[in-house]
Amino acid sequence: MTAQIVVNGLVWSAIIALMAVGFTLIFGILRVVNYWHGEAYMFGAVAVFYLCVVLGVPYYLSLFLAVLAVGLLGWAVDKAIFQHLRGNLMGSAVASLGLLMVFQNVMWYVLGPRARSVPSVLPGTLVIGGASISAERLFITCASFAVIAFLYWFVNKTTLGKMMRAVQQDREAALAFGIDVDRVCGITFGMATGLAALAGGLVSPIFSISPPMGGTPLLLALVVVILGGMGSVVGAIIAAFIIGFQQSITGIYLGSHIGLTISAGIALVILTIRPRGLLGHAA
Amino acid sequence: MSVVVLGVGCGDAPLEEQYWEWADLWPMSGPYAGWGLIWHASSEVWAEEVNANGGIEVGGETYMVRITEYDNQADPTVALTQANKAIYDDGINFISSASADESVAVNELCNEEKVIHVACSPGLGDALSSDFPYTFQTWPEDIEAQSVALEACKDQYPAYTTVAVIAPDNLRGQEAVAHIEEIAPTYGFNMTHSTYVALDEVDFYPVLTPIIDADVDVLLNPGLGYAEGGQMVKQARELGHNKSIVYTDTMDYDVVVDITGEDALEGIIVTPQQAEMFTEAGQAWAEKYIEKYGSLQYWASYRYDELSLFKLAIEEADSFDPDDILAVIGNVSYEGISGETRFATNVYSPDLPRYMKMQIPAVMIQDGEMVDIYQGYSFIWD
Repeated sequence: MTAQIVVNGLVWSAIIALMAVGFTLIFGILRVVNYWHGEAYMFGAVAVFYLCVVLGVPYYLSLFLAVLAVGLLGWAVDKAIFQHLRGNLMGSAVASLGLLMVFQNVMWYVLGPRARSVPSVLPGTLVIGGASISAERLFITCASFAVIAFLYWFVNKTTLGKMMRAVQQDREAALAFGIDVDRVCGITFGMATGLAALAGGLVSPIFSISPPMGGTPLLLALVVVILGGMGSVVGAIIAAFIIGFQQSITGIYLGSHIGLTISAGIALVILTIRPRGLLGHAA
Repeated sequence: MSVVVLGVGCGDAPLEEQYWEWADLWPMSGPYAGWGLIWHASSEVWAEEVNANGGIEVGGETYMVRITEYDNQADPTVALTQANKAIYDDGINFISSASADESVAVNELCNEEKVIHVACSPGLGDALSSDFPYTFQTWPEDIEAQSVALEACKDQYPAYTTVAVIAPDNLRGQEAVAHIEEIAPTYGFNMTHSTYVALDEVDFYPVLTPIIDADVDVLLNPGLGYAEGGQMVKQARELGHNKSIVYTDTMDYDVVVDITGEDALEGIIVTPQQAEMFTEAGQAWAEKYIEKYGSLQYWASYRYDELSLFKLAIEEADSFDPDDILAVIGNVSYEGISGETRFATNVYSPDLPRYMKMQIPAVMIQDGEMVDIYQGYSFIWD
């Protein structure tokens, strides 16, 4: 059973990490609390459903197009709304909650009451060290970690990545050095939204697709960002592993309904004893 | 008043249409919209059919039927607000509600105002007692469906002895676990595992891991949502469970098979389903229902039958007055599309016929078809 705990934990860690890294990028660079992030996850899955199932586009191309489309939507939402709310944590939180409700209810009308699903892309189950894992889950785990590794390289090694870090560290100084902060923020928002869409698109063949599907990943991402430290990409990745394995262990021994409660408890404890999280900066 | 008169002008000769109105107070938006939309489609099929056949004759006058949606958003507070609107603003005195929480929330108001309240929900308990004579229940108690399902399962798989219950984390799920633990030995089973999951659970690997590890014979789903139940089946098969899976609540086959594929569903036992779709009336309803909703949801036939029973009672009483209808409701019965249907007493309403007697068949999925394997019945009804 230990091997199965590890396998189960890795899958969730990968999904949450994709969500949390995007959430923490938006918070760290734009100083925006974006509860709409779960909707980007849902849009990724819905876009893959429409492209792949309704229009017959191959799954992997659907996934690429979904990430691109939702990323552009994120960029547009930033331009229309969050551009005016940067640094305004309360304002952005309220605005993103409003967006969440509007988009979710619109999607009820678009999708209808039935949950949707994308047919299996990689059928079959593998047994690794005594643990069973579907080929799809293995692919999701590997793809997620590959993307996160690429993102880590991108943020640390490319010019745009360095600009993003500069804006995160000191917005005014970045402006003084000629960095187009608005452009960097817009790209960051689009990229983060695209990451959430990637997570949603990846899970679309293994989880059901419905308007509220982004709720749990958003909550877990929020816990991960609090635990890892607001704005810290590395902290978010480490915390994603902790919460992913916590979900796996509590699911097996206590029932999955307890998992989210314990995750929330962890967030409360961290906020009380170490508000900056594992790797966040002191306020 | 639930009866309204509308004038439709046409030159000098105005035509007047009179309506008998019924409120569908169900979740029409939000996560549980599926329930309301599925049932409301059945209401509309019924209303269109009645109107096409000339409406209802009462006191020598003809009335068309109108079903009005009130969205309770699966929230008791919203349900009460909407019931107030239906009763006081719109003058309706026939209301259907769904789910125990929302039904109980509006029950007192309906009875105070002498509004007929039909709850499509198990677990009403005292809300169905003689203290609330205007309340009816038109959905089987969960324990009835669970008994039928376990009996059918034993019938099909005599060698199986162990059951694991994966229940939604709510009052209904907790009651299901208690019920199944109590009744399982009667049918030769032992409940070895019980676990709760969130209502919107998508990842069942963690909760399934110890169950599959213990090689349990039967996985029992007592009321997960359609999509969630489908994920449970799919993931159980991925983890190596190749024995029985039992649904003791409804299953939207089209939703579930999209998730699981046909192979994973082979041998699954489901109840309650309306296997009487093979009757002429049932097939006619099914065709109209599919046209309206898009896919067949067998249990929505309960709604059609319940409305038909009330139409019969109205015609028998020759009145839309709820008190007149209550006086005759126990005398009407008919061969509905979900079997022989009438209101009877049960343990919660021992004095008044307020519980709709229903057939509870069990079906098994074989080669992608639902095959009738067992005929159960409502046993709490008298």
